Amino acid sequence: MNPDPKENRAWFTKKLFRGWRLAVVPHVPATILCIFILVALFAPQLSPYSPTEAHFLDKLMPPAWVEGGSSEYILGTDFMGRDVLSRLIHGSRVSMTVGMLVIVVAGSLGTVIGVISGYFGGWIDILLMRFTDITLSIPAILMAIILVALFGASYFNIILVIVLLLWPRYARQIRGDVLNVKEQEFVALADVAGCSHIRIMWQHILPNVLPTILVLATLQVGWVIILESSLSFLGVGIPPPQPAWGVMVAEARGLVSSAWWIALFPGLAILFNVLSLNILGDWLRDRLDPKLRSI
Amino acid sequence: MQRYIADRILQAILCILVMSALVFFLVRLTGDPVEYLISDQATQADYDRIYKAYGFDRPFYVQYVLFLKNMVTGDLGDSLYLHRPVASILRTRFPATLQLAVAAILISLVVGLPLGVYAAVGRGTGLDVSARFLAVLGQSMPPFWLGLMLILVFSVWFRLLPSGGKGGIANLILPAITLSSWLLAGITRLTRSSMLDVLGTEYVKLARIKGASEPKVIWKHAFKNALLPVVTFSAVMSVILVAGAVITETVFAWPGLGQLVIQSVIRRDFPVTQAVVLLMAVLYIIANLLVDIAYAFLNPKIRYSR
Amino acid sequence: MTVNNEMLINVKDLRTYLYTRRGVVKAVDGVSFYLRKGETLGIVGESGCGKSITALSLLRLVPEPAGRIVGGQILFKGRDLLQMSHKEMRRIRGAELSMILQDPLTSLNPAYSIGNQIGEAIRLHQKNVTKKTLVEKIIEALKMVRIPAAESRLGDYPHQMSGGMRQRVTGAIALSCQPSLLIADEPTTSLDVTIQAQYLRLLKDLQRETGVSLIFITHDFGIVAAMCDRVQVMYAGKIVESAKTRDIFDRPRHPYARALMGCLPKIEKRLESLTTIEGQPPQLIDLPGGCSFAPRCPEAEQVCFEKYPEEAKVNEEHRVNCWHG
Repeated sequence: MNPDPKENRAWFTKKLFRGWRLAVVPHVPATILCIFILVALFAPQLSPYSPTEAHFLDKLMPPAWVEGGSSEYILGTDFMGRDVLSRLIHGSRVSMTVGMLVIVVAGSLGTVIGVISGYFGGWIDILLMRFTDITLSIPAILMAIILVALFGASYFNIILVIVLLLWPRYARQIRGDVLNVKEQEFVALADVAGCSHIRIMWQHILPNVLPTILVLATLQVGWVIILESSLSFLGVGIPPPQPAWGVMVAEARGLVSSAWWIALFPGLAILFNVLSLNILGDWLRDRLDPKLRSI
Repeated sequence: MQRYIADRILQAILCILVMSALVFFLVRLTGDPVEYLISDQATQADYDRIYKAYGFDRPFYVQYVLFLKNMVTGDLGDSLYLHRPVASILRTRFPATLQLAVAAILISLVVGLPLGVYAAVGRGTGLDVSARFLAVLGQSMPPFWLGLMLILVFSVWFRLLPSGGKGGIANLILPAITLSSWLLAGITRLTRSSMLDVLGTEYVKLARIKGASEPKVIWKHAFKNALLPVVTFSAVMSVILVAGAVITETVFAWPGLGQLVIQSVIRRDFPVTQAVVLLMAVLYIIANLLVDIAYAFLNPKIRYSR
Repeated sequence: MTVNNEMLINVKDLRTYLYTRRGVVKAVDGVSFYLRKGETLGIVGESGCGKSITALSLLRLVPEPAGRIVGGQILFKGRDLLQMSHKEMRRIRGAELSMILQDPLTSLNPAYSIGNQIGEAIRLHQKNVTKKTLVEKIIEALKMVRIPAAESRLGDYPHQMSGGMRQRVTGAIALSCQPSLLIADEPTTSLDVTIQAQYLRLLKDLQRETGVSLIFITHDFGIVAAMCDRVQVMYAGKIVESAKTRDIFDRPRHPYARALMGCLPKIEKRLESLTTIEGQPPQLIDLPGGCSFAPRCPEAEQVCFEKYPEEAKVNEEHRVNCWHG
């Protein structure tokens, strides 16, 4: 560990990009992820129809390659005649938005609390960690359910709920990392040199816990997407008619025997999305810090 | 070890109290809690009755004590929807969820542990690569979708298994597989990485030096040590089970607590919601406690301490 | 130490290579040595010179698939270990040929009691042992390594014992089946200095009592002086000098051996004159032709970089691989 923050950043980048050309980067997941992000960004331009546009006459049409399908609706239509592909594309927006927002907010909150807790120690640490322990000890879905039961289901509430559930996981992990970094001598040196606490935390500690933050972020987005889609599926998440993937699958439930495509494609979308994130996250973790052995 | 266990029990009780306090306060925060406990057609008399019964006219701490007392004695109110005491509903639903959970745990352990061990032993081989891929896949698949796809393939297309409801073993298979997917993946990965760690240790080398056969080295020497982190993981396991139960039971119309809690939320049957959430939380905490105790027995460092 | 001339183990041109992503590491590159019954042979060298892999090769426990014994012969009691089946090898391991590892903290299984671990060694090679006999044998083994109150310690776990005790238990495990050859891989390196001397004394006593032959792997010439009848100096996978201990201390021929001995603090020397060997041990991939020590050798000449020195015979037991030797 180098005391110079600039050197730290150089070390970090070098670690991340070393051997980039040697095909050790999992190209396939990275590409898939980029596709999803691009689709989410350019959803209105890419989707052939609006996600809520209902063509009642063309409802329940199978995908184009199945008998009875048409090339007008490549992935078929649902029970209201809405184009599945368009809903799928717009659904990626929902997932991405929720995923990104939750991670950014929960990650920031968790990092701040983790750094403060680890750095200052003492009763602050004990208090904050007890709090996170308790929050962690309650199963996420139960808390989500009861919060939704009380406050109702909406875009905002879902994000809030998942943030509340996620930040303790960050705080815990980051705090552990901070404790390790704190032991390093250069922190003591900075302290002796008269740096303020904020400066130490920002310049010295934060860059060294950055790898952990990054790995956690990547691995957790997948978890968030699955949680959000599960809640939406159950009816306590993003409320219809928003084209969230979980909602799409829920709507297809009764029709699974006759209209399998409405349930299949959103699930595949979630699967590929989360799979890419997990593989990428694993690769990142192996690269940056093999000692981070969380699930 | 006694101290370790006593400490854990104390923690568990604390967690239960905190959880109940959390639910208690959350409900009070959102406005008039009585509104949650009476149906839409209630009269003023009903309102007053509930008001008195839960002691809403008394100070906070008295309310909380009453709340706790009710929880412990089993007086959980009446379901607004089914017009039956909540406690009796829970009593009928609980065994169903338990059955599902046990089945899922069994599947995960019976498949996951050996798979992880052999993936580690055969590092880099086809078995290892496929085991790892399946594990990542299992953790990336939304369980509700998996359930539906299983129904599609096995119930609709091949007509091999029923698509839902409780019944015989046949009914149990698909829901159990769905519920175990996440768990199985996690156990496989963890067992594999734990075994890899242990297989590289000096004491495993010493076992080979002694002349022990390879199976003995793997199972007697390595596996027992590799098991410890997996036991700790079982704590996380219970979370997954709880969450998974809610989803799986909904997909397969399995009459357990999970399905109940979702139905109650949608039907705005708050007494049931509250009771199930608390029950599941308590069960989860107890499960964790049992895992902690098992860990204390398995780890000689704790077992033989004061 | 009465040494008879019977050859216990004769290693001829042993080669063990490690196949890594970056290339082939010739960890053991043509090593030959022998050990007579009752003798103690020391193998000395810096970290990474291949001594531990040599030891593992003797037991055929080289980590696969990366490592492989690619050539040579290991004649143990007349039979070539490298030609044996796995089953035969397993029967020999622990019973006739045994090893003590370096770090006592990690070489005992934390999940089982020491009684269990010693008992396993015995049970593996003596099939029809009754429970009562087994317990007696375990206690005997513990007593042999001078562990006090042996009977009450059968159920102890490794974490309940000190480093020195644990290393004795490892010794008990290794000697429980009365092997003919014991390899000790830096057994005292991880012990406290005060315990080191005790342990070495124990090994010497045990050798006297049981007649076991010892191969002692170390980087410390001081230990060699105390324990070994003969010594081999290893560098970069090859043996560069081998001699009787007295001979090599009298007149070390190879510059590397000389340098290693110069690193020993002597009472007469003042602190400033403690010599160090310049440079680093070489990477064992892509070794240049010629003597591997040449880049660091103060006496290196042109020929040293070009051709690997042939073995020169100083006297009956003293050989050296050096153009100046």
